[in-house]
Amino acid sequence: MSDRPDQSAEEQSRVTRRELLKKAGAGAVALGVAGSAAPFAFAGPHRYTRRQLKGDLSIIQWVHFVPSYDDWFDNTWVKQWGQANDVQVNVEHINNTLLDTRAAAEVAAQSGHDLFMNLHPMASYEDQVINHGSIVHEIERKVGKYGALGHASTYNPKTKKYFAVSDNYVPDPVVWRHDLWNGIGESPATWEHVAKAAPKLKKMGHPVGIGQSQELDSNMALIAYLMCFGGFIQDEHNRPALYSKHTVDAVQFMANLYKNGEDASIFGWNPASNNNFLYAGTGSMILNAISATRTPEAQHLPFSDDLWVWPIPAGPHGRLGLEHVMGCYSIWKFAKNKENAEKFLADLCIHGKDATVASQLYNFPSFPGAFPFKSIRKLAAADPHKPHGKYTILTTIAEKYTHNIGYPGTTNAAIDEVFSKYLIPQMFAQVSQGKLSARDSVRDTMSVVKDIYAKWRKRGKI
Amino acid sequence: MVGSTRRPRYLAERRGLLATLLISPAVLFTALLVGVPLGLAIYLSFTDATAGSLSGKWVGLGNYRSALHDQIFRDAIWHTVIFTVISQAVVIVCAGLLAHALVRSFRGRWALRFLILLPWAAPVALTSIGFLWFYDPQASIFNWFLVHLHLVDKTQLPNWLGTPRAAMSSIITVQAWRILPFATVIFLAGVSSIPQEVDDAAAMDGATGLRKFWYVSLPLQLPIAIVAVLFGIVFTATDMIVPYILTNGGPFNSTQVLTTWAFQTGINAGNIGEGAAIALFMLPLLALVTVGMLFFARRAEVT
Repeated sequence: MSDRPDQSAEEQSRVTRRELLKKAGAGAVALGVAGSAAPFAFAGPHRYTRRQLKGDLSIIQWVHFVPSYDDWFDNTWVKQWGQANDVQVNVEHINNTLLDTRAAAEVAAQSGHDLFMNLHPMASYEDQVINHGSIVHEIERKVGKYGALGHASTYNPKTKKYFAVSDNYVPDPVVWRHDLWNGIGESPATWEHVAKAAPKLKKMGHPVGIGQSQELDSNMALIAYLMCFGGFIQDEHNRPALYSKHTVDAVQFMANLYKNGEDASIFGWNPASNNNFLYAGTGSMILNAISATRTPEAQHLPFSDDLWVWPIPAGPHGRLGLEHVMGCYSIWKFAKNKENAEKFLADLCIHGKDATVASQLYNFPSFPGAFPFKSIRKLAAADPHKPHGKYTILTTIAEKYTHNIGYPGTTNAAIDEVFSKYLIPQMFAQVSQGKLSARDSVRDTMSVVKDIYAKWRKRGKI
Repeated sequence: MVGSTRRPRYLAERRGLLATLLISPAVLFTALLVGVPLGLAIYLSFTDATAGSLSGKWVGLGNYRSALHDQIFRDAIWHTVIFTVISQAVVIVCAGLLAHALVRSFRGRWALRFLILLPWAAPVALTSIGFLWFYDPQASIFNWFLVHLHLVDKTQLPNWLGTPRAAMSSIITVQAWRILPFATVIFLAGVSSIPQEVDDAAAMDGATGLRKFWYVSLPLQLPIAIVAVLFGIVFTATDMIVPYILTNGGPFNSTQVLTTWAFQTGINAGNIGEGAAIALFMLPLLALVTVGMLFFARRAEVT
């Protein structure tokens, strides 16, 4: 007999773990079916009560480094375009570091914004986007030829497809403290000059700052620097070409420059660090877009008038630079409002002048005919900040020294991967910190680069 | 009346049905949010899926082979082990000490407990950004203190995120700081659950200090402590926020852990298949650790 009178009844009604899971599973299926039917059961509220718009357009893009650009884009350009075309335009701004993740999420979900803007050409997404060739031709019909930089960055010669349209790019000058350099009778005209001046500047407490960290600015600066020495990640046929005497020499030269004229902080930098290095009054030279000079101007920092903007110093192979960032819009194949997106993008590029003005010379039009260099130079000459006319050099930098990532080849999925994995800063940093010799570091990196190229070639993208 | 049972009047009173109703959302939630992505990740790791695409050509074990061939990946495994083991060792020691201190009655105990719990309540992304400022190469508050306490020279400031050892130590410190409150609470529960009679008996038998801790307190706490360690290991080995925000894997991949490398490969570089293979690499290992620890915990249960 049981000790407790109701025990046998309780045992009878006790649910075993297996039974419970079975029942819970059945319940879960029922809930799931009910949940999936919900969208069909409830209609959303009507969005427009007074008039029927022709359609919608959703755009995602970065929070611009120059706030006046976003102000113009959201409150002037988008509103006017929406009214003129009877389209409801919604713009979402997110931090630039989140754009890659969002792009992957939208593609995975096969749902998202009609126009996706990123700060680099998304070559690896080629299969997911429409061919933008018709948009490029429409813009060219209105304002003339697509710039060589934009073309090389967004066109895949292998598949004959435009996987994006670039509306703008940002020239990447060297920003340096004229007062400090002048004090030692030097200027950053060539890398030899930089190497000669850097130890003196460091001794004065103002080292040179070229990042060797796993972040965007280090990547851009080091690839551009490498090109000045004749080192290229790939050749004009998009074949890996990193391992060369030029690259080894460049890496060794940079290691010496670090040892004599920089401080160890460059290995831990993030994208804001080189700007902060300058703003703190410590740095004597950095490679960055003109956001580095605009902030000191706006904050009236004591040395803002001594910040000079020059092209990248020349190396043994000449003066070769990169764009700092590049605005590239893509339209997904699954976009709901492709026609509106195509028209918006074409109109934005055609009106490139407004964007350059609104961004205070940060954005340069990828279709040069939209705002010719001569006119930009005029605008730059009128900039009130000292030394007067310092921004006019940007047009020379843009016209002569700005190339695409992957130069002398085209931007493609393989170079995108080399860039995204920060292989170049890694190659430099492990030599500067004495972990590897320059030759070994370049050889090891080349081996990784080769594998990456083989993979993308196998996939038919290069 | 002996043996009589009352038939449930309402459906909700039927234990089987009620249990089913109550647990179904949890099962559905787990299946949708854990099971489906896990299944998808396993499938993707055998394909050459690129850039956000959820399908691709079947490549068998190609992605796993390619990952194993990659030196950065092999280093990332080692970094993940170091990151996990050291941070958890720090957590266990500190949580044990804190739990024993906090179980005693003293003025301000609740305030101290609240303060210790705070790091767990704060969003990890925000606290990591806070630490990014603390470690900033140019404006580190740690360096400011060290300089003002005359512990380091102004020209020889520590570079917290710029050299391999310092960077690894920095991310381990932040991870330990983050997990510590959780482990402390669990340890505290374990210590509090030891009946006073056991303590009294131990005292009567002359067990004090370390002997008492080793022979009485530790065995009694062990099952619950293992739960804390297990969660700590899983949270740390699968975490990417702290290394991603603080170092992004640098300098020269010396703090690259499996999660950050999977993210860089799969999302930033557009190799979803390879990224999935890297991310899944820890799964069997963590599963083994989990099973082993649960088994150990069961054996260590004091009845």
